[in-house]
Amino acid sequence: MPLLEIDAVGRSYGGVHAVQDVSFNVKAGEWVGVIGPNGAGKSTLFNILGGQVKASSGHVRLAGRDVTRLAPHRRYRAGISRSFQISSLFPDLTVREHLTLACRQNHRWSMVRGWRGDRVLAARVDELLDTWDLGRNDGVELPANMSYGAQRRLELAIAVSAQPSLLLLDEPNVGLTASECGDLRDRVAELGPETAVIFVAHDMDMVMGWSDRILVMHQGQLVADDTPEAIARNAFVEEVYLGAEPIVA
Amino acid sequence: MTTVFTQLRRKVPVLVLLIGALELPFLLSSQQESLLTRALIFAMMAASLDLAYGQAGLYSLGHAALAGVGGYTAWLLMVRYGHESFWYLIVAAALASALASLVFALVSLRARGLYFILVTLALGQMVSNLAQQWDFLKTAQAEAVTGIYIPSLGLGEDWHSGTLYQFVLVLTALGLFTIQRIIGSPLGLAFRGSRDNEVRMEALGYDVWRYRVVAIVLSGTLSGVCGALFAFQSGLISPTNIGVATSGLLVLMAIIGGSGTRYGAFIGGILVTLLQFYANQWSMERAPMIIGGLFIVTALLLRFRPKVAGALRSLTRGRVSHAVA
Repeated sequence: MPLLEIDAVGRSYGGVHAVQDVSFNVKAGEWVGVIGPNGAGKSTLFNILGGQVKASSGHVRLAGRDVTRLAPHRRYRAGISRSFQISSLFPDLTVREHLTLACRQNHRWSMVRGWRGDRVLAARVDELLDTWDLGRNDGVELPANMSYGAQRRLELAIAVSAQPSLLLLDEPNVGLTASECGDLRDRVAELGPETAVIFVAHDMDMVMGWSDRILVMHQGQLVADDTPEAIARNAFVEEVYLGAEPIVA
Repeated sequence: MTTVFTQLRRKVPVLVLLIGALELPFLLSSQQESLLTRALIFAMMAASLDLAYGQAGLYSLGHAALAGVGGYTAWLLMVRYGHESFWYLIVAAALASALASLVFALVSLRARGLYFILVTLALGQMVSNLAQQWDFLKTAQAEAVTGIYIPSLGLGEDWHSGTLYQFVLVLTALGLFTIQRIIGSPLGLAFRGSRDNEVRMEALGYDVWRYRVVAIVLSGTLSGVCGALFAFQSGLISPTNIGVATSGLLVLMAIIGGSGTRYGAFIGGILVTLLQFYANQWSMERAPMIIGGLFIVTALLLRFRPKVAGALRSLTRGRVSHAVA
């Protein structure tokens, strides 16, 4: 059984179809790249998967469970975690507080025990600070005082920290150097062979290097779903990227 | 060991301040004691508002009504039904306010942003109007309900302005301690996360709506306790005490002291209550203008708040991180 099943998913705003009749499956451990020109519907598709946007039609199933109508926080608990294209951080929280929020898997409403006193949690946060090279000043920095690259690393660290079964990365390489991008691949791979990753990117070298499969979107539709080698030879995809005639699937 | 000493060292000034404040009745007149008691109650009310406002980002203009529910509950049980135990009355006031806060939360959280503020304003005004119009909530057709006195603790205490001040001071310290525990707990962190970035919090598995309900209920419950204390101290409570003007004043207290900081709203509460009293003493006619002017100056200076608050937070966080490490 596939980990993720997308069945005829669509989303329209008035008469505009941002995503239309998209279907595909993702197996556990698979890395799937999503490409397409601007306005192709990649971000809307990501938001439908993450629950930030409700699908107008179709179904999303995770490990056989229909999650189409689940709110984002319930999807997260079901195993879907995501990063955002533009870093979505908490302006008034320190790096340590960001990671603490991300690592609190049980979401208990403890009012008695201070979060700073939780040694297990603190150890996990220390580990993440170290792994993602965010430990400057012991993690007391606010996002506004960090470089863009560090903000991106924090964005990715809090998405990955949940050890999800499905990880959605929206343009994860933006703001990262080539070597940081390679490190990111390794860190995500450390989540284990069962974690599936779907990512959106414009850097074709990265997409070709990271993906087991590539999905190509154009005008809200899925126009190709194949291996990187096959996509590289696909004239149709080349046309889409070179901005030739509009494609009608 | 160093951490323990560091934490103790940070608590010593607070303890010294508390002991010093407890000794104040030996230096003050009974009128000054009453004024300080009133200031403590309002400061605590502002601090409770700030739990929802500063920590969870829920800007309410109906908070005084929740305090009013506590005050009217205490009056009802004391005057209409003859209950005289402080503990009974204060628990009943807290429960009634918690229930009212829950209703406030369930209704107001259906709206967002400016509309949320308008709904809290309307709800607060509804409670105030209810107190004004409903004969059951009146004594001798007067607008204010009277006949309230300081109930018994069951310890053979002798109430006068000095002992009441000391008692309220201890309760206030406990209330502030409770708020600090909430702020420093995972719940408090989740409040701040919900305030700063709702979408990201949801994407991290937090049910933001529930956290907001909890913030409003906790804030309203503490406020209800303050409302009951206000009624005990004043001997009366009226619809004007719980209307939009008082709610606005509470917001002013929180902002002036530093909303979202640890003790800011409390300090703001003390300052504004004292200012209001002395402005009234100087000139009853001009006092509203002074408070109005303070509102305007505060609003104009709000744009500098992020910088000042950021600087303060950086300082305190630096210290905290070393304590943890």
